[in-house]
Amino acid sequence: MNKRYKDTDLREALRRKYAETPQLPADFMAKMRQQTADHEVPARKVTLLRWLAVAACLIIIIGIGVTIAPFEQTTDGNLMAKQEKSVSDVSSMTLHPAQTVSPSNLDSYSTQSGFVAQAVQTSTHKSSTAQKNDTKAPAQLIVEPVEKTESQTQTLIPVENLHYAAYVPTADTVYQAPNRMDDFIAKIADYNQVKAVPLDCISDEGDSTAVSTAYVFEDKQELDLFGRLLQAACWYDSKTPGYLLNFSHQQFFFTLKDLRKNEKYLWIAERIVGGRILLFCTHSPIETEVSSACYQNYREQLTHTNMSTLQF
Amino acid sequence: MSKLTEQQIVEAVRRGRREGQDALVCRYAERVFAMIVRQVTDVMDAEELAQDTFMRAFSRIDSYDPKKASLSTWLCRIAYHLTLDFLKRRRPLIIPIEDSKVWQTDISDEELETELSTGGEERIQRLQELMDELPDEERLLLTLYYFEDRPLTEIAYITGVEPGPLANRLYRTRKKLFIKLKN
Repeated sequence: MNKRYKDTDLREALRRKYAETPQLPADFMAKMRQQTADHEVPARKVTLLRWLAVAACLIIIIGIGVTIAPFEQTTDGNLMAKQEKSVSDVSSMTLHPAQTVSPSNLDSYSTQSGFVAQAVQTSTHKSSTAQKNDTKAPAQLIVEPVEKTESQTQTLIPVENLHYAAYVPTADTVYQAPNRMDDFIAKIADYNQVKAVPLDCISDEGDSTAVSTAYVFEDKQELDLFGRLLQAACWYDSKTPGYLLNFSHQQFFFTLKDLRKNEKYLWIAERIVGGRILLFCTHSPIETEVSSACYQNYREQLTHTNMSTLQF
Repeated sequence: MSKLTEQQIVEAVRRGRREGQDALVCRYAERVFAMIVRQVTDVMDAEELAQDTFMRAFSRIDSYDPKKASLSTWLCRIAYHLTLDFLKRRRPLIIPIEDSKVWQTDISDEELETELSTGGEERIQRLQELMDELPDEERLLLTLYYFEDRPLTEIAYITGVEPGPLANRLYRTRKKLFIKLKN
């Protein structure tokens, strides 16, 4: 293991390759000083800061535990309290003989919030009981508005849609150039001596700005094109704008958007007759409508099969 | 150039003293930058990575063990991992197509050494081209071994791979280059 290989060709190749290595920029030291000054924190303070951070974390955790964990209980508790309050309010209501509560009044009041409506309903229920008990005459309820009901109602309605499917990335925080996929495909094609066929995609559908290329690979086990495409696709973060990956034994479908270059990319690989794989790559400005006519026409040329007449 | 010894530099950096940090950068910046810029072609990126290397060294100086490696090698270890991470973010991870052929070809260490030491101009030029086709880790390994002339034990420390598997990897990379040359 301690033997050193001479491999003079390899050494010479490396020596030539790195002969013109760029020198360290002259202002490197100054930049480093600037950076360290920005990050400079006295060593003693670091320990103190660490303890403070730990304390802050504990406070936050306890705070979250107190406020969020018993959320359901407090919600129910609030409701109960509200109901109790409205019931107790009833006791302060004035009962006037020979007067009734009109439903229209109740309706107009209940539109303010469900809670108020509930409170009113509870009140009316209570009042009707009171009416039963008080056999002398029907009574009118003068309902006093319950304060802060609107804000309380708002806290119970989820404002945000927290479902994961609602997440739509608007910025490419982790930029991974989609055209690397094209580079990868070009390398595979080159290695397997497969020619890239540029497709002329000028059609009525307005996809003249789309740049489309097709490759026809042999469907060989050694090549494992589907596996390699999948491997390359999996390199991309699933939060990359426009990320959509779908594949089966028969077809591979992958899309990405490059927000920096304002382009969208699409790759379709499909096993076609004759033990071949047709790989279609296209990219165009994001706003362009890309039709599938181009791909279909080329596919038909290859397979002599019209996709629209296929029976599934 | 600072007159501080390696041990004094480490101690000063540990205490957060400016002169220690300056001495560390001043003494090793060129070496660290050269190692990075060979793999990362963009000078700005290389400069940023070199800065990150030193910033990380300042913050993790406590993990430096002088019994295991010199300060320079320790810095190279940080630079190596930062560079690899950077390259992985930039390039898709591709398992080379010809990998399966490497194990099918049977060639001894000595034969391989002879084949890679012909002195032929055409072969050297072809090797230069092939270097870019190698995965980052293999190219870095060759650079550390042949260009920087580091012993395998030191490379093992830098890369975090045990010397045994590392020797296998080196043999495999040389064999791969040989197959590519033959094709």
